[in-house]
Amino acid sequence: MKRAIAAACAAAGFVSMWLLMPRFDAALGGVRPALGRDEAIARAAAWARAHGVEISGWRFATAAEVDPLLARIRQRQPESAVAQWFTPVRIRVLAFNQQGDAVLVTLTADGRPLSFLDRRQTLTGEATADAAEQELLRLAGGDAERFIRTAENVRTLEGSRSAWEWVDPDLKGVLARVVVVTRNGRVVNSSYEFSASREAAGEAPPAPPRLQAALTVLTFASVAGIAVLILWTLFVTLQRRADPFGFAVRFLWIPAAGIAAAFLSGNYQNDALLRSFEDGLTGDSRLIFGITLALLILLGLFLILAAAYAAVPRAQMRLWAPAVLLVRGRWKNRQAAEQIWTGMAAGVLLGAAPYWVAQWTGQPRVRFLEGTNLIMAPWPAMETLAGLVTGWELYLVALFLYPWLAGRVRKPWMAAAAAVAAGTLVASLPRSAFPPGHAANYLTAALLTGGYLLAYRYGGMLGAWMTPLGMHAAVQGVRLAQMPAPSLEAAGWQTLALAFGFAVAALGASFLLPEADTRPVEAKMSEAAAALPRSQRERLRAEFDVARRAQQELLPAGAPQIGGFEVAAACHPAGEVGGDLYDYLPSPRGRWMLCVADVSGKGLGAALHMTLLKGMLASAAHHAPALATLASRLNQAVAETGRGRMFITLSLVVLDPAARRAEHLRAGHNPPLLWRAQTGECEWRRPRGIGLGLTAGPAFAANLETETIEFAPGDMMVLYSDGVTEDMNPEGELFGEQRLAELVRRHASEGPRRLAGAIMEEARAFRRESELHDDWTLLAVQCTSGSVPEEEGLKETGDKG
Amino acid sequence: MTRSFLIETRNEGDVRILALKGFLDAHTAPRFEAAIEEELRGGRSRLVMDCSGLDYISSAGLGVFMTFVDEARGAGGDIKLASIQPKVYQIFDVLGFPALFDIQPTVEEAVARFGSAAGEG
Repeated sequence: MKRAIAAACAAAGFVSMWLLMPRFDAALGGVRPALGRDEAIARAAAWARAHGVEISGWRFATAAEVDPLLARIRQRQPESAVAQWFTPVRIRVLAFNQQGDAVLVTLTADGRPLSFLDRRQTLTGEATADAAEQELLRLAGGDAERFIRTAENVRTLEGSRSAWEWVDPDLKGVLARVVVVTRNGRVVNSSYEFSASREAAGEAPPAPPRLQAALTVLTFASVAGIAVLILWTLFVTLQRRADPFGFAVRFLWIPAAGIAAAFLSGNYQNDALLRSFEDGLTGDSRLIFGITLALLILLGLFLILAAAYAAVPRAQMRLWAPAVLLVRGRWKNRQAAEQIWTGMAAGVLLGAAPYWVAQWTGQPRVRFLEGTNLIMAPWPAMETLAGLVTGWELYLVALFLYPWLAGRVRKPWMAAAAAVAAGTLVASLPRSAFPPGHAANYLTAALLTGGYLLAYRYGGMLGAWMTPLGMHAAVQGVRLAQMPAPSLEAAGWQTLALAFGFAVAALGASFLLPEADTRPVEAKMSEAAAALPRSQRERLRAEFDVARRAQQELLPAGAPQIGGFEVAAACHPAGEVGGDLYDYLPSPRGRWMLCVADVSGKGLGAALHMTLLKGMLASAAHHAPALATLASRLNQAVAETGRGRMFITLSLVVLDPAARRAEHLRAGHNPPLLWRAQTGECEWRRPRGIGLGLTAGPAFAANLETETIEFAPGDMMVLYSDGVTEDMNPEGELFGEQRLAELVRRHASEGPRRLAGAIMEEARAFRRESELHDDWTLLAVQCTSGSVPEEEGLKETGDKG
Repeated sequence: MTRSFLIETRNEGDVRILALKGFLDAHTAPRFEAAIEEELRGGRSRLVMDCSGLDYISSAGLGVFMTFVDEARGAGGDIKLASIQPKVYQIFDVLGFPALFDIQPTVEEAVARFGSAAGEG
């Protein structure tokens, strides 16, 4: 059904364009370049030879251009001499060689010379005293005597400048001019040009200055506003850690492929070459220029895409899902094909919009395609891309502004109306795609923006992306069919064939390919987009700062000296405020209480509970009750204060160094690891126990076990938080218990300090560029054969209890 | 690292089944919390969590179960866990959840338990 509607839209667009185009596209007066590429080059070579320059064997770039002013004059006064002499289509031939010499020749559509520009490194050829006069005769032919000399050998930087002018008596306000610059008796620059007053050109009177100023301000404000919006969105999303850049980078291959094709086909170089020549560059600079331009285009698209992706509100994620699938390499899905088909069909309909507007408003003509380089271009790839780029304002609005607005404005029609208004402003004001007449401009821009929005709404992100391709293909197709070009080389039929093939393939694929499940993609997108509002986040961050500093104070500053034992710990908090705690607390009768705890969740709540736990443990260490009693008291306190919303897991070891014995309690915590020096093997110690605060009922005490561990010299006990074993690498693999045990086996004999360091190092290597997603805490205690340990590496620390 | 988490709900008689899929961690726990809260506000307190698709659970995720289990039991229902993957079960086990929650090997068994015993605790 959706496909059929799209097809109907395309048909309606094509038919209306077919009917309307001849009426409005008469601007060129039916003039086409009468020459093929080879013929144009031959004429240019002959013209150059007349100036004493031999360009055969050089390389060439050719283009055909439309002069809109001439086109208008020709339509108003088709019989006038100026209109007959100057054709609205001009052919340009640029010749250049390896030495950096370049010659630019401009011809009329039927091959008469209009200008000559010699930019050779060294001037050769015959010098004549009256080179300028001879050039006038060549350019103006039999009309030469009608010209009045207005400048005679005026010295300029370029050379001696002479000029002649001829006011056409038939046409008021039109001036033809021949300008010749000679250097050392040789012509280096000559041109036959003309200018016309506004009335003669049939232009509407300019808007009042105040209105113009207001419109300029308005335009500037809207363009700047959207640019700022994009930058701001990018900045905010950076903080959110969503992944808009990844998406944009992956998506860039689509325009990049177009640019690459244009480069390979030579069309792009053709264009870039002529442009670089106008900037005073030749030779290899053309390539650098072309590449720079292509990179700038890509950068612009990248920014828009990244910002747009970041701004997609939840409700519109399904519109983007096929594009996300596509960039992830899952291109064989029905939705993407459907969107491409819908977008291209919408483009055909939109292509007719300027013609409708011209019909309704009584505009005399429509010049929709900017320039007609296609006429001479061997391959139209770049023009297709140019369609994407020249319509950038509409893209900006459809792909970025509208989604952004829709996420913030409650009523969809309000967002659409605002987007159309902005699109109308930014698309119609700075561009002169249409003859003056503001109403028609605005109407067309509004129609185009609205059309883009509809293409986006029904064809999704890919659809909006494909719309210009359909638009260009349709305009070009109708044009070719109605006004055939004089030679096959001068055709733009490749665009049509390419686009038509693409559309048919998309339509076929939309029937044949399987439907993809886009829900995971949408879920992922919404996850990436989920973030706190800004003000709330800032307030929380300030609070976190305080909490983090307080929390760091809670951890012991160094390891204590325990006779016959050595201890070391490492802690690496993840993010703002973590929930891990470790401590060494001296107890009566020379005992030490060692613990690692993990408070569930993060943030202030967790930090406060850590403080609470630290205080309770310190008090308990002092009073030294039985472990089970202590645990039950802790559980009660946590259950009361946490009210079921948080819990603490805890590994608690009460070490009696003199007896080389420890009592161990595990309240829902990861089972500690015990390495036996004698066997070199590890064992996991997992007495039963429930996390503190999970239940206030009798289940806690009923499920609690304590165990006694006897230490032999060299034995090492490792307590750790789940941040150690659940550390994750970029592939999503967990560090795991086996890896930990293996490291303990390998490094236990080196002592706790080195062991902790080795594990931390290994974890960092494992994690690579991934972020630590949970606090990472490890505490190791080793029995050092009963003797007092060496001083090396141990720090005295104040009594923290 | 952001990972996906999905909840699919369905009914089996008067028992509500929430199939959890993906990663339940600090990032996704608020969504899970909201989902359970919605069930309880809607008067559905007999809940079975189908954990067969749950790949990972962090302490924040575990906290959500704790937050609501008393409320569910107070309303005459329960939160039962079913068909937990071994890896995830290990996490529940370390924490002592088996002593506090009714954990069943399959969803059917968990649903059946609502018939035989009206919750625990």
